[in-house]
Amino acid sequence: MFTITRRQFIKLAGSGAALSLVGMPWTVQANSPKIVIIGGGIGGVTTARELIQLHPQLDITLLEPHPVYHTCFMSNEVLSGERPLESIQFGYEFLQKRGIRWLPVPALAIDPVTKKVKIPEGELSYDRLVVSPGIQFRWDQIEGYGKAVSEHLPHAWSAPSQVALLRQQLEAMPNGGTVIITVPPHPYRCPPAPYERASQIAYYLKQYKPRSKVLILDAKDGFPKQQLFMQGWEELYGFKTEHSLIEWLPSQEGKVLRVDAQKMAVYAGELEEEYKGSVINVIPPQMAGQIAIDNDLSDDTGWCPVNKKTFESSRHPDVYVIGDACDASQMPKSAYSAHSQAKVCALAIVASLKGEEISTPAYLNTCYSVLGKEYAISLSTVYRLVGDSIAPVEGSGGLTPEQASAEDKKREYLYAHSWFLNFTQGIFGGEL
Amino acid sequence: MTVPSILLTLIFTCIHCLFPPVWAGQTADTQMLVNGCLGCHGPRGISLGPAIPTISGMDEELFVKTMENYQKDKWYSTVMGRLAKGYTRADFQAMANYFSQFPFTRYPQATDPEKVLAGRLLHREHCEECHKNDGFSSQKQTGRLAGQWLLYLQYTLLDYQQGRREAPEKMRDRFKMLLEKQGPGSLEQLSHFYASQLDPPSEPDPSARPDLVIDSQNPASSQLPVPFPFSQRNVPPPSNGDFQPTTHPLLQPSLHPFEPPVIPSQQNALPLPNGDSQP
Repeated sequence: MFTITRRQFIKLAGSGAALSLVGMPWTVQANSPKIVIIGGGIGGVTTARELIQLHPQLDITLLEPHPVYHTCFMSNEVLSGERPLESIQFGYEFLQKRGIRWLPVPALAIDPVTKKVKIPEGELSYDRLVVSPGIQFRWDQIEGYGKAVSEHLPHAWSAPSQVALLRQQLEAMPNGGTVIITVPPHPYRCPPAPYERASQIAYYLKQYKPRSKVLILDAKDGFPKQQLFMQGWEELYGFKTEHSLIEWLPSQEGKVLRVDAQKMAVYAGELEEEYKGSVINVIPPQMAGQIAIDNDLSDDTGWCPVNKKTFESSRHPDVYVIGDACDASQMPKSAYSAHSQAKVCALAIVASLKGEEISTPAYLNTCYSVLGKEYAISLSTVYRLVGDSIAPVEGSGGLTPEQASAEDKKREYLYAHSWFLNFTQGIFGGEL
Repeated sequence: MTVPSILLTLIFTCIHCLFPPVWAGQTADTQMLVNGCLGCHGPRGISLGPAIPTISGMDEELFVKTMENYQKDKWYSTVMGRLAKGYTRADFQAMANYFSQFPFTRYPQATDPEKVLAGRLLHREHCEECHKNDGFSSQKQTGRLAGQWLLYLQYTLLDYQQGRREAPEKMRDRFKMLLEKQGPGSLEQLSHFYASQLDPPSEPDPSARPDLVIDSQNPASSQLPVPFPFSQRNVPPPSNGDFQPTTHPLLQPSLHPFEPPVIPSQQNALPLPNGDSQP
């Protein structure tokens, strides 16, 4: 066991994004508070940027082994061929210029007592630790499905290679085939996304393989924005007709029990009915990322309990958990939620370092679902802290109205894409 | 880039150096509140997405009034009205104060020169009296139009035309007169004119805050956000400076296509004698 030196950091960081002393923040001193952030997703990067903006003296290290990040949001448009994979791809080079140290290594373990994070080459000590690891899959929940099988029946719920694989399979499948999407029970990352995915795949099939269809096998009996989705499917994809491009089966018929990759079959529902697919997309049940599970940050739900005002772990002091991995009451596990939580968390960390009380937290979530060309719907909510939990502000927020015109939905579509530009600019862009 | 805009850039750069992290007078409470806005409107309220307006440098009173119009559903919106209902007037005032600190920022946009020309004449005849200085000025009653995003301008004017966005009485009369005289095509021309405007025609209104223009040839010369490239992997890290010179994604239509809305000539809330007269 040893403590890593600055020189070793430089070695570690290696070639492309080489850290140099010149590139490090001019204000970092030996006694600067040390912040370690685990995870370079929306939550981790937003926290890092926000912290350095609020408190430029901080010594911030972000641990993320992958050199490139792919957003999950808008990845369904990659499946339909509406956008290239490169358009949802972002690098971390900008972090160094912002005075944030990026180490392309994984975090191996956390010692909350000595306040150290173990990495392959040594240890990092911290004053405050932010854990934003996202989700991992519960591979043991569906018989016949596991990590190895996912190389053939993709989940495409994280990792660009999975999205690319599912896209390839859609392109290769015959006209007349069935695409099966299996949906896990709550809670999981991005609750409306399976239905947006079904829509985008239907959009692709409608253009190129019109005799095919999407079959959604659901572990639940309802889903977010359900009325709006179904209305959209009726308008765009013949839903509820004989030739519907989308079929949805709720839990009684749709809850997945078993997958047979050899037979390309899924067994679901009370009668364990067999459903055969040309393409099978299994979205497995989920829980908090491994580092959180391994280090006693989660409870028996599989998610991490936190103080909703600060996102500090309920289990270990000076450790904060944000994004999909944390239990944030009524906030859905979405990128916008993670972004909002990261900003609250950064303000809470700065307040705690100064020995001050955090100001009244404010949270927000907006979530667009793009159902097809020039057709999108949205859900937006303003949240406040109520007692110990995060709850919507009464009378605010809500869905796209059901009576919204085609023009209005086109406008939502354009807003969704503009949101993507501004949101990713704020997180991965070159300035503030 | 013109001399005044270089000067403004320099001034801004100096301010930026003085207050690198947190802006003067800004409290944690305000920061907490505006964090919700930035996710959609972009860092500092400077938008890169053409459907979403830039709200930096906005007059404070106008900002509060605008939010209240959305809150009370006096103005049509997609998500803004729903979100506005979650905040108080005091919240709006804090947000207004925050966004007014940053300069309004203009990016070059693709516009139709013929429409710009026609729009300029229409503006001077019908709109200049309130939207002074070719739409560059912003006061409590009038929003800054020059250099706003084309798509946003088109939709906003469409909403006025369709009666989905309540206008002050004077504007209502002027708008009606404009449509009666020039037809709905005039709205498209006005939109192109405003979107095309980067430099004010005369000395800026002394009460107005300085605006900034992004130099499309050399965005790295500015201290403001430039759109990052879609594929960062293939872009070598810049040797110095903070920014990777690039062109705006909107100027690369193959990467980010969007179609402006068609302002319909048949669905007018207001009666129109002639549809398409050109000035």
